[in-house]
Amino acid sequence: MFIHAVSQFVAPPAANPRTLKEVLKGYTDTPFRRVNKFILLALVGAHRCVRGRTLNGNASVYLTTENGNLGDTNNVLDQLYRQHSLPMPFSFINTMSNTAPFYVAQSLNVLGRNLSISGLGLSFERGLELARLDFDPGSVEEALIGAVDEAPPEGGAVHLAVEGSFWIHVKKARDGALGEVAEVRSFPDREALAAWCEEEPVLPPGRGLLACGAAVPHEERTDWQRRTGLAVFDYGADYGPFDTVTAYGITKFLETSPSTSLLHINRNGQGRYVALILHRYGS
Amino acid sequence: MRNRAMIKGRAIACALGEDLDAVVRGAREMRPGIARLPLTLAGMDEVRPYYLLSRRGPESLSAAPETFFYEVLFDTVERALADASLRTADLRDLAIFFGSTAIDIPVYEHAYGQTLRETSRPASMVSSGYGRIADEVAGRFGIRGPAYTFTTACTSSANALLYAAAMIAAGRIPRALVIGYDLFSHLGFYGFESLRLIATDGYRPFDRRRSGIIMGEGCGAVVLEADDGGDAGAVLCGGANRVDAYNVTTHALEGGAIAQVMWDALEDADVEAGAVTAIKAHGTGSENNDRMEGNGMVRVFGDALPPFTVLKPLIGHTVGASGVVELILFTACLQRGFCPPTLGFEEADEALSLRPVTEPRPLSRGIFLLNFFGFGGNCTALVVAVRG
Amino acid sequence: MKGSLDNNLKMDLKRLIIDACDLDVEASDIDDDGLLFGRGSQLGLDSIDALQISIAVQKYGVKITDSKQMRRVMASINTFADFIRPE
Repeated sequence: MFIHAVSQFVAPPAANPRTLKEVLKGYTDTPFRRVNKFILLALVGAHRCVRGRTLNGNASVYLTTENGNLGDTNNVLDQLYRQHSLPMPFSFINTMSNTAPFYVAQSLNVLGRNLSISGLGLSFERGLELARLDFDPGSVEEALIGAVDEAPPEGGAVHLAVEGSFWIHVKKARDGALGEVAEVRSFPDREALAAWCEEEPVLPPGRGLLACGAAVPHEERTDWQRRTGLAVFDYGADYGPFDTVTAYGITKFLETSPSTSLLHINRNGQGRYVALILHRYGS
Repeated sequence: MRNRAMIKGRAIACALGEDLDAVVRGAREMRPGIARLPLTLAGMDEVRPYYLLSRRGPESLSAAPETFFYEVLFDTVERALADASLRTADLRDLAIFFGSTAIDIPVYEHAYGQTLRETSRPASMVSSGYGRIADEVAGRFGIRGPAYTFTTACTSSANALLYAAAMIAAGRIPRALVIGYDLFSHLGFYGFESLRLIATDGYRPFDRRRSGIIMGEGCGAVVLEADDGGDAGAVLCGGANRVDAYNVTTHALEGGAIAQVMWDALEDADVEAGAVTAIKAHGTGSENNDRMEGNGMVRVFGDALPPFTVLKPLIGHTVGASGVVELILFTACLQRGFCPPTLGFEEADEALSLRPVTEPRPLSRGIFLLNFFGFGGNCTALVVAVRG
Repeated sequence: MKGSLDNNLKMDLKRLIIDACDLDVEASDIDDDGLLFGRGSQLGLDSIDALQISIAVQKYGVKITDSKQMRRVMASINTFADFIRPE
């Protein structure tokens, strides 16, 4: 699965979706209405990644998300429980998070697979894994894979400094690619991942970078560094915690690193692991 | 025909019951259990039909839902794992594929309402993460394989089946636990009402007197494994997913994308249209669904349309759960010798002139096409072989 | 006063429609007599817009439940205003 374009959109939580609409106008002339903040975040990231190019009409869209829609879900519950009214139809429809990949597909005219995928703490990895599964037998030859999460509504218990939308444009064809998703591998526990790292040196020492996902504790990171002998690529401190931070790190590597490789290790709360290997080609 | 994965174990909870024999008997005797729920929360003095799980009545809807939510889920999964006779070591490397429309909304909307009543401030956080439910299942049963959650509205668990079978066929995982689960939520019930989609007068898909959808609750769990090549059981042969970009709420009436997803699914399964024994239609009961699905089926099969049926009048539209729940109900009926009928259908719509199966029809083996469509233009079709 | 003669009410309705349907137009750009629904109409609204408006308009104490009535009532700003205030 070869990477042909990358986009990053990261910003303080938008208080009003209209600001995102204005941002979106910088990338596409298509007018959008009845779309909420979550959908607009997805559109901004996807259109920023595509930058006006035409995709194959059978290309697929894989949107990964930790929490899906938060704002309109809150609105509908407010309409029901506080105002004792029927919800506004479009607020209800937009609580379903797959409306976001729908609008991405509609506005880019890509009519292949269209999915909204999650895995607690590992959503972006799960999306990459399923996309690779589709690429291998050739069922899919071109896709947009994104990670989108809006910050929780204002005044809540959880406050995040930023929210984001990060996308990669992938093809089966290598010509003109800037990099590659070379491996996505799941492990039942830390020992299994450690064994894999030892069996076959994942990346030759000194020939790549190591990054760890947000849930990997600090002392464990030093252990992975020792085991792999790779230099550290640290992105977690840039903005603090937010839901799409893994995709932020991956796209940052692809946008800023020189020609090299990245081993990305992440885990969930239950101690199950996913390892990614990405290559960034020289320009 | 490709054999991607076979159904090794299964369990269901729906309006017809939880014991599979009882559920099949209910389908044969066409005995649905429909509750009538008031629209009080939105200040409306009306009731709407709804298919609640057989284990509860309307009074339970105001009780704390979290306990109930996980009781139903864990119980259904436990029965499916037992049906598959998995050993503890097999459980460890299971992969989980979970599909739902409402995810954990039934749990947190209750918390939202309660906090609002007690503190006059609503709960500040909605959703504890879409992937949490699958992880709760993993934690409960000691499962250490990867977990994938699909939220594509009414195709959610059909897509979970599609990817589970593909991953097994690719040799990436030995077996999968696929779950479709949607419980009653006020958000969904009042949401469908706000779209004026809920039937007021009986559930009658494809009938000219159709008046809309009746929602239902359901939990279905199947264990999939690589096909053992035997001569019994049900096998997932393939399928497809694509998007109809026509509109976020409705598919195009001409049924172009609907036909395409059926063609794609047949091609993926390496099955000719002429080899299809019968179709399980999506059949939500809305006029739009009848037209677009009817047009789509005619595009694919022309004059040789095989018998088709709709299961929703028996158990309600279980939205994101419908992929797994309807797969279990349909294959279980076939394996007991009949194709379940479309309850409620009486008069054909002249504009369509399509008649679904209306009486239990003797049928126990063959190749079947199962359709699922949802909001966001989502279209999924699965091809299943039943070997008797 | 009949609704269609009340410019304030009509302005409020236009703002309500713009808000409910997420339209990128100014209230003053909407013609009182022009059609609101269907292809080629001034706003190109569809059946879900009608549902959206029918819920938003409940603050005027009116309920529109029948979909055919809904399209008739909301044909234009003038017909809509007259429905809300017939006298």
